[in-house]
Amino acid sequence: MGICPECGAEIHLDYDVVVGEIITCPECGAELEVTSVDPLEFALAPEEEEDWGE
Amino acid sequence: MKIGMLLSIVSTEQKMLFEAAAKRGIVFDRLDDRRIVFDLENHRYDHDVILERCINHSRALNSLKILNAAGIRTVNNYEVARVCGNKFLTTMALVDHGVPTPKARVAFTAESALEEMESMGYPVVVKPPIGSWGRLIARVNDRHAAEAVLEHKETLGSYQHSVIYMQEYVDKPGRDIRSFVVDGETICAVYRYSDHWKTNTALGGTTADCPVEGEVGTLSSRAAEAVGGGVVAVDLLESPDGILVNEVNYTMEFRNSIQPTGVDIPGRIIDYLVKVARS
Repeated sequence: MGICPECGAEIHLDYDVVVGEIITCPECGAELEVTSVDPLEFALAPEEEEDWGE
Repeated sequence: MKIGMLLSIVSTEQKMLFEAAAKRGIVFDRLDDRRIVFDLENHRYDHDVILERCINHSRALNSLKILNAAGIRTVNNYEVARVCGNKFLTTMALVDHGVPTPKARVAFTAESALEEMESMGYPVVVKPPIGSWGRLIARVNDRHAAEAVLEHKETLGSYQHSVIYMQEYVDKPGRDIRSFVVDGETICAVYRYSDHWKTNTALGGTTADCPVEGEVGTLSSRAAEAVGGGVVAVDLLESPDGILVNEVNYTMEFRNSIQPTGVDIPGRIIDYLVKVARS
């Protein structure tokens, strides 16, 4: 279980994640980056920049 | 064998690549571009190959330059990133290699760009030379729209918007083609359908398998060769005069193309990485 840094909601994930992965907070919809898997921790995901892409 | 992956956030593609590597007994050494500091005199990397998967073009381009200069092999290499990351350099490479591509012009002022668009005839597609996912691409239908887009670029645009890339509008049949080329071979392709004139799957377009026999496969491989090879995704347009190569992507996304094609794209990328590492 981790805490959303935006809204404080408790987030439970029923699938495997890796550090650096982006998830969406089910409560507030904020995009979050997984910063630690054990314990589960999140930070706000980086905002899209002008040179993002493929 | 030491294989690195240069990245920041972990997208679906990166997870698929981790899994494909794990199936082959490979664990990536992750290099987070947000934490990297390069010593320009003494490089600290001893990888056999590094897969570039940055989401920022600027970080990819500069990192690849430094890594390649230090003798580290990368997929893709700096030259491929430099050419693919800039739309007018891509056009120049395609033209140089005789690969059919939409007609394009580059201008540096609103006045000269407007004059050229009037000469080309509308619609004209205006794109930032550097950018992706269809972002800030405009279909300019008439002179009034051209004046508005150019004024916005001059007033609100960053430095790179002072380079105005204009491309002929290709009236495609509600879809375009995205093909995937690994080591010179076109391994698969999809049609990307959308009701919008932009067919990027990042904007909600849907995909279906596209056979790679014939012109699609040949042109894709030729486009990949024109930009320097490696692992690239090629965007093709079906014009009334035949297939045209629109763009080539060097950090390709493929999450929506595995299911319709049945091709293990991440697996093919890892196999190529291993080949490069051993070469």
